[in-house]
Amino acid sequence: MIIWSIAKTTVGDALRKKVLQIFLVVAIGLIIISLSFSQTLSFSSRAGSSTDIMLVKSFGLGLMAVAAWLISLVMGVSLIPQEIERRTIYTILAKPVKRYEFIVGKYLGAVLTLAINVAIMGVVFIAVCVFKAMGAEQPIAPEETGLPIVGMQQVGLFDWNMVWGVIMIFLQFTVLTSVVLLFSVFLTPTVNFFMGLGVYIIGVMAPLTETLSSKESQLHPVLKAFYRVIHTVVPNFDKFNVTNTLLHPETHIESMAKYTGIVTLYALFYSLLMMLLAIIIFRKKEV
Amino acid sequence: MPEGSSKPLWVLVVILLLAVAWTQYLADPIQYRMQEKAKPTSGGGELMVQLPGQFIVASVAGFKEVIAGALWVRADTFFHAGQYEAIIPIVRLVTWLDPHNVDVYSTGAWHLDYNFVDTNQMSDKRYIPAAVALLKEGIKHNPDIWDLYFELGWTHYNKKILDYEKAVEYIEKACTKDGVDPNTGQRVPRPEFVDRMLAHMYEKVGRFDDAIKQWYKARKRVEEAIARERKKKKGGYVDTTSLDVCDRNLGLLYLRLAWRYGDMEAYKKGLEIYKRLASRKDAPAQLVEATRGAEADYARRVATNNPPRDALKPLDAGFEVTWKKVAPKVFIIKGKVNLVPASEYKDLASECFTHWYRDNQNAPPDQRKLWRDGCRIRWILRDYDYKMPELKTFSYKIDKTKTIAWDSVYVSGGTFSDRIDLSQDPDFYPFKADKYKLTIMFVPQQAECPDYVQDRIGWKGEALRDKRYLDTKTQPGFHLLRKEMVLSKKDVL
Amino acid sequence: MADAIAVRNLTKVYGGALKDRVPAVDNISFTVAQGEVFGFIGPNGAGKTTTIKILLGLLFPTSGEAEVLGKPAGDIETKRRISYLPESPYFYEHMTGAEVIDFYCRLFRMGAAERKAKTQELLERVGLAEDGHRTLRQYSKGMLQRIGIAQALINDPDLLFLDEPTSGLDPIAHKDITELIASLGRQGKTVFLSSHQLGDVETVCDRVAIINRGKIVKIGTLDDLLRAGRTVITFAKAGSELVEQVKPYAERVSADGELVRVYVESEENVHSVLDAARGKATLVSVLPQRQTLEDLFVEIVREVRK
Repeated sequence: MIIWSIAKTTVGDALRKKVLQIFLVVAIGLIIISLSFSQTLSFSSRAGSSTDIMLVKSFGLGLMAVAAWLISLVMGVSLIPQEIERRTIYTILAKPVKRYEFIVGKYLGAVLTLAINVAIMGVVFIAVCVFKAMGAEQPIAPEETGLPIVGMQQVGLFDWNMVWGVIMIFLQFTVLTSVVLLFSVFLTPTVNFFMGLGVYIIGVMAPLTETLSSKESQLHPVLKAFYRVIHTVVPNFDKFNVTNTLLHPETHIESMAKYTGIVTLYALFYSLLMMLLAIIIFRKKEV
Repeated sequence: MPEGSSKPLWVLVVILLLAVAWTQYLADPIQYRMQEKAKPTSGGGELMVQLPGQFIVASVAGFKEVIAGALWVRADTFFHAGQYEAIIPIVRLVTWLDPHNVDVYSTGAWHLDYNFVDTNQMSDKRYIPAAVALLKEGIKHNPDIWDLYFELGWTHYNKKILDYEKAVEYIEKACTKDGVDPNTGQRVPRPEFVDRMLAHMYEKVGRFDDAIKQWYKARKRVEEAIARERKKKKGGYVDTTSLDVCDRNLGLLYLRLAWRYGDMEAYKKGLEIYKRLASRKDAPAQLVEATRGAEADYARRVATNNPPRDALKPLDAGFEVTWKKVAPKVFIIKGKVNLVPASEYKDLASECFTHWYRDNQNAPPDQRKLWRDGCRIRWILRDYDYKMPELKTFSYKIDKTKTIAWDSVYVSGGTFSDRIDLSQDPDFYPFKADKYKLTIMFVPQQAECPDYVQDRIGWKGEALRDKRYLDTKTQPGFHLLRKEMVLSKKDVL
Repeated sequence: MADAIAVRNLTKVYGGALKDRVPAVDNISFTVAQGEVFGFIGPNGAGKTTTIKILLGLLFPTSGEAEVLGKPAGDIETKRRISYLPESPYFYEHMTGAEVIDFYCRLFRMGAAERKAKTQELLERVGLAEDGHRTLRQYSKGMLQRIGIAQALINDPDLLFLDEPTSGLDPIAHKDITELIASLGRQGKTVFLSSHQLGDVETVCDRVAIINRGKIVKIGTLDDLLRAGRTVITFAKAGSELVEQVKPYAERVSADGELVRVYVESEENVHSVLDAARGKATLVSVLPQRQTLEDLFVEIVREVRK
């Protein structure tokens, strides 16, 4: 109950942050504007409006990721420092509140805020996708075959993959939030912002660290081991980046649900790990 | 410390670290299968290194597909400006950023195959290997859908010389794959024309039994598609033309097997199909007339035990061709070949059904010549040692010192002539070699050999004879006409 | 009865192991009895807030011990019985006064009905009953301070830590809060009042400790510290020999140019000093006086700075 109260207060506080509101509004505005995107590639035999929808989807997913990224970073870096700066933490910790309850409550609040933001964007985004798909058609046969074109086929309206996409964005940034939360226990917001940025970039380039540490890599064994450690320790944000697969689901080999399940577990374990470290440090932290 | 020892927490940290590593280990292989680019061996990392910085930043930000889309839009403006050479590098970039955009592969290959054209609208054949490699790369990334197999098959059929068997292989492959809804990504059945195309292909390469089986399969798939459509539209209008297309094609295949090779059993089957089509209320008059004609012919032949064997009656092609340089890199090809359309023959078996000869005779004089156009003779002029390279990986950089050109000339009323000007596009035809090989040939399989010529010579050109140029070796079972010459530099420049 | 607060040889040095760091709190010891209103005074940066934070378990001592209500500082169970009002408290701006109190009630795991009643009661008690529905963004500093007091009273604490509770307040709020503290004292609560507003401390405190530069320089009841009958004897032309001679009788001796002031506590000692000085210096004045706490404070601080 204490954790929940702290989480709720954190959500209320974060939702009223002007800068976060601006990210949200701009993102939603751009998603809606993307409705007008089209790429009429007249030379392409198969490019109908289905290609336009793909552009909208790709743009929307990317945009939501950027917005969620900014939101989690900007919100996360101030989670603990702001409480200290405002001295609210003193009144809270002077009450019979355990320090881990405070950390867990703050993280939960941040994750809830992220969930609310991503959900709002997600609903708008999916609505835009459905709207764009309405009436979209594509020719069935390529022209150059010379076969009589049987006609146009209507594309499907609701794409479940976009729901997976939104969930993946949420999961991805819960992990980033947990990393930033850990840092915010002992770093100032500005330093934390850049640390979070760095961790995110390394995490997104996970395939690179993986390549550098793989058996095939030509690097010195010590360097390889170093990259192996980096690859394991830094959150693998690339795992959540399945936009391309979602946009072209014909390449699905395994079910998206199974993959999402594993990745959800990954996000959960990683966030727990970060939270635990944050708790260990925060227990001994002087505020 | 106020809240007890941290030791148990550290134990938990280790456990969680193991759990994190475990889930990563679980997810890795799935991810590699889903994202070709992420596979360490085939170079997710290298790719990142190769791409310019802003693309890394953009892709880090999750905008890869947007960048790809924006580049693709840019490609469109290049296309409209006629700058085809600018498009291909974009194709390369876009497929890197978005390896599952099937459209980019097929459009890119189409550019390479068709759009690098000289002043006479002849395409630059040196790009064909690149197109094939691009499609193969696309297939590697998108192995589970029919689209690119089909494109590759088509390229082999229509663009590569004498690669019909390979074309069939790829289309066969396409016929084992599903399609996909471009928006939702749900599996959808592949369009039926893919199956129909395979039937046509079997016919082209002379695998008639396979063609017949394939027509039945294709027809079944069309039926299923119509049933689905009916269910979806609940009583609304459903187009059933595809079903008729299947029927007519299969019927005609049976009839032709009879007319060309004397298969009376096939005649019966073909007639059954056409009788069914003609008995319909909305059957066009032409179809009814054709069917009646064929019925009468069949009855007469059965009565007299005289099966038609038009394609088995030898026909002297009397192939003559001259190739003359009239100016540097400008040639005149001229010749005769006894390949006239069915409308020139009075007594072909198909006449009872097609009435081409009759219609030709009845046509007003000024339209008569339209009936004389027949097949095409293909010429290939290339560096003596030119071999079309097999590219392992896609590259749009071609060897600009090599020369290869081909085209075909219409045969009209048994003669052909054309002026071939290769002087205006030194980029396309550098003519740097000392020796050149010129091949002038007729291949009955080629796309330009129409049914109304095959009615006399057969699918495989069985009827063809020629004193000098008959070629039965290049394609076993087929009769080709082929004249090969070696040209020196002097003959060209 | 056990002491409410017991501090023994407490030292706090910020910033880890660097040897040249100045301790914020330097080996202090004191106790606060239960039911006492204890004033903890000193200039800014003297170590008052540090001491409070150690007692609350927000900071950890470098060495020494700090006990609160018989348990080591920071004990979670103890926190049910204590409360804290930080200096210029600030709460979540988006919440209303009532919501903030409700939030703090939740931290004590109170049920919904109890929270509602408690919120109402506390808002009335601090004079914000009319403003409970307004968000804190619309509150004045005095109102925020009242909210701070209210949250410190939620658990009906046995021990309250009030850090500068009256700083920056308008006179009416100032008076209200001072009265509230006094009433807490009358109810038998232990109050640990840190302040540099000496007037408040003088009005409400039973006992006072003066801290400066991390050290407690004076501790005792107000009566002890400001005892009547203190006398200042001023001499002119006093030699250093005389200064040494009177020191045993004097509480303090201060030299100011030509003048030497001798602070003497008892009448007996006044005589002894006067006797000793006879013929060795010119007597300027003998003034009996009652000090204000402020005088004492200024004097002590000035002296220590020398």
